[in-house]
Amino acid sequence: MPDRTLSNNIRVLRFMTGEMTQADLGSKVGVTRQTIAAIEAGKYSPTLECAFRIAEVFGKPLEEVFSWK
Amino acid sequence: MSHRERFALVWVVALVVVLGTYMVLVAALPGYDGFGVSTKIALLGGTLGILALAAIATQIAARSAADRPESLALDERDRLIAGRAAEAAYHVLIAGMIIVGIVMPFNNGGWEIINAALLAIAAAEIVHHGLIFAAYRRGVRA
Repeated sequence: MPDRTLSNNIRVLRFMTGEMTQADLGSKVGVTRQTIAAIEAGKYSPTLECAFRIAEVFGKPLEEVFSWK
Repeated sequence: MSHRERFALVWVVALVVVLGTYMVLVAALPGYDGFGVSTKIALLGGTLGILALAAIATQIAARSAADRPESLALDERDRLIAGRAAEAAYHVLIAGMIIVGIVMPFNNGGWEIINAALLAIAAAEIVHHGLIFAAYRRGVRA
């Protein structure tokens, strides 16, 4: 299996959504601010359910939020 | 640093300091073997009492420093980290209990077994909270 890491555009999407805070996004998807920070920093890969919820908050398809690096 | 990360770090330090002091005392105190049962129980009880107070104090301090009350609930990342740390600690504890319960009774006496059991539990706890701290620091992959 190729050793690839997951990257994401959450920081950019938050900026484009009126500087939504990590805490706001976290409360919308049901995780803590620290978990959103860890996802943004690439220190944690969210579950599929959480990834879909994040994409839903931004109104984007999953592949526009998360991608392989 | 989140309150869980802070609690894990403080608890590892408390375990190493308090139980380390106890183990050094047991190993190096002249005449420990000659102490009466009540003295040994008092020494062990005092150590466990200090640890209990440290656990309560660090838990209260960590919770009061939490961002918001809802952040005290575990989310998926917290559960993943806690589960992995508990799994690793379980193996350490089982290995320690095999030594304490199956190997040591053939060669060692009561207090050596008690102290070895305490050491095994402490090792498992240190691995548990050490891994939690490391996972919050370095990140965790599903």
